[in-house]
Amino acid sequence: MKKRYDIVIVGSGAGGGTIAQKLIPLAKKGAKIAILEQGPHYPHAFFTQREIEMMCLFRYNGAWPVTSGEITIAAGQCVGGSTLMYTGVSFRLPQDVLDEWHVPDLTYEDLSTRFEQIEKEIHVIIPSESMINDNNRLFHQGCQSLGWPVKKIPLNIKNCEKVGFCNLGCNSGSKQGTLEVQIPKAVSAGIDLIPNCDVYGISEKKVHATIHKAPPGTIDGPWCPGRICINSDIIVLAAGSPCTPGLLIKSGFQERLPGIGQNICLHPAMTLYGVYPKPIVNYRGFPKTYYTDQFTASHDYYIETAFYYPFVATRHLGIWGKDLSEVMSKYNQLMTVLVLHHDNVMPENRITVNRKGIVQVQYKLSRQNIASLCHAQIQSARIFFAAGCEQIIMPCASPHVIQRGSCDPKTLAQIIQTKNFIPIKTPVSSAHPQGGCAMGEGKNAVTNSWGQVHGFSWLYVADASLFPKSAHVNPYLTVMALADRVGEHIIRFGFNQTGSI
Amino acid sequence: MSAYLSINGEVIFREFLNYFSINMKDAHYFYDISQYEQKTMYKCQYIKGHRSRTILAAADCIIPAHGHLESAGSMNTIGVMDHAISQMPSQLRFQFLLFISIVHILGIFFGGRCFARNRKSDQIRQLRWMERSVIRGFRMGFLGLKSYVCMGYFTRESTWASIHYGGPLQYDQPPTDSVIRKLCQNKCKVYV
Repeated sequence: MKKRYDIVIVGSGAGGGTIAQKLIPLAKKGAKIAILEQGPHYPHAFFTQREIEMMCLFRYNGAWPVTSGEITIAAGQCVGGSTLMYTGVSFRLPQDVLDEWHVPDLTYEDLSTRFEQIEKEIHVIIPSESMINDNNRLFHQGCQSLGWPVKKIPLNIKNCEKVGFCNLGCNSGSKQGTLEVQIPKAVSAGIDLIPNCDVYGISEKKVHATIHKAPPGTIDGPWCPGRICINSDIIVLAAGSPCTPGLLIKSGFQERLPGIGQNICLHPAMTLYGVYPKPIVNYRGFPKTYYTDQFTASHDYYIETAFYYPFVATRHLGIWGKDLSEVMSKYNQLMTVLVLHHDNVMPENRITVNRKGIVQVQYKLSRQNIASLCHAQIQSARIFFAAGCEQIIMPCASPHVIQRGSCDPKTLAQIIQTKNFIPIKTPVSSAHPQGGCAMGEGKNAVTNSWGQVHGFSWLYVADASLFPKSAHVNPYLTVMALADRVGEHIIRFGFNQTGSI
Repeated sequence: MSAYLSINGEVIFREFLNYFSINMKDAHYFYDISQYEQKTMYKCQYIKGHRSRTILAAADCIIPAHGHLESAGSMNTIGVMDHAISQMPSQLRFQFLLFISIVHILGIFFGGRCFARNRKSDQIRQLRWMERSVIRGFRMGFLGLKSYVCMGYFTRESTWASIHYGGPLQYDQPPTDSVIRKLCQNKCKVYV
């Protein structure tokens, strides 16, 4: 099967959805635009609020390990991408981080204007007091009693019903991800949405893909299953990191652009638990409303509130046997925080493709990463105890379960040590893979500051793989702002250059 | 409710067959047994024989009974695990099943017999050794085993009450996969 489009967007997450919306004026002028999404198109009725049934929303059912096995990546594979199952955290990229990136022509003023506009479109709000559940209240109390700054997290939600199933797909449509905001606008403007479309290669102005049958209960796409070649004047890759760099490697672009697959960061994260003496029912209400940046400058991490369902909680706890049964029998008393470490770019960490064409993330935690994560466990332990928890569970502690009697920082530092970190055994996860197609002008840069791939004027990247270094904060708003820039460049220059309109 | 009736219906139907000494192969004269069994029975595709015995024993070590919490080693846990394993990429599934066989055999070095027949303390010692092994494959394998046991146990509704988890608010939302829903609701009888 063959098709012809003016612009093809690969991916429908924060980057793909945003760029599709940006290109609506071109679609209205008659440009043929398509969004190709590898995953299915789920209707709201699909989201059953059951953990095991919703694992299909994630790539590899939520268990995509890096090659060393040290970290498990969670990434969405569906229309809406990871914005379908994120918690709606919408931080702006901090100015000092942008300064560290050293990307010519990318100014904070430019991004700020876009942030403002996008925040309006996706309804970013500061959560009201009525949204704060007991877990968040206790976190606030704990940080305050330690004298640490505690701030509210900006969230993109509208008429939230506070049912607590954000990470399993929001079936009320309150979370304003691209499935709710950008994609419907783009589709109603005439942009084609093609779900179940697995792009396996790109060549000069061509996209090679396989259309798969829609899984039961999902919305069918317009094309029949089978192989397809799509001719397109402009191709925008927004499949997310690591899939966008993986696709470029598979398509042979690495020979001319050796920086593809390099400069990656994962934001290694640990979810930590404390047992509160009374039920706090963290599984209802909005899971994430507060964070502290007390240790951002000194130790490279944020601590945020969090919540996870029973099975995923057992993965994070890192314990088994009697300890696991005891802790899980008090599941409704668990206070939960998430440590988000902003890692540095390391030359040995990279995205590769194996002999079977499967995208792999080569990543090993450095000593510095492990030290930061251990420091974060000690500080989280202090928050738990300050909030009133009786016992805490720390993956780098020996023993893992610590009772309230050992709550002074010195004792905690003796119990929680980097030597107790055992790769693979100690649970570390990532929901923010970044980099692999760094923007800039250096020898490792893959695109310019507008996402246009060096040496290929018809090819753009518009997702988190553009980040030359860690974004430090949850990256979705930054991805949207950068995708908005890419869209602007296509409207102003890219499309005219090809002369196809 | 309908599944409850159907499970009880199955018992009555089998008793009827036994009473008249009717071979199950001939039962289709009375009832479309294949269609009937699909609705109420789940036959494990991958977890069978020594693997099912190994997983049952390992599950009891990973999640032992505590208070109202039952231990995880049950056919219901195996059923959910088997269904999840059937969805795995084939290479990963092969590795997982191979690891279970290795756990089974390595039991000899920890208690003199295969894993499932060793004493509980020897089983725990073996699992702990694998969890902390210098060999990456053992650590990965143990993590996989533990994750699948936890999945097979904590996603089941009968467990939710014991851990005080309220479950979905839209309880009757139609399932995306009716088999896994029935398995998680203990509405399927699991056999190997």
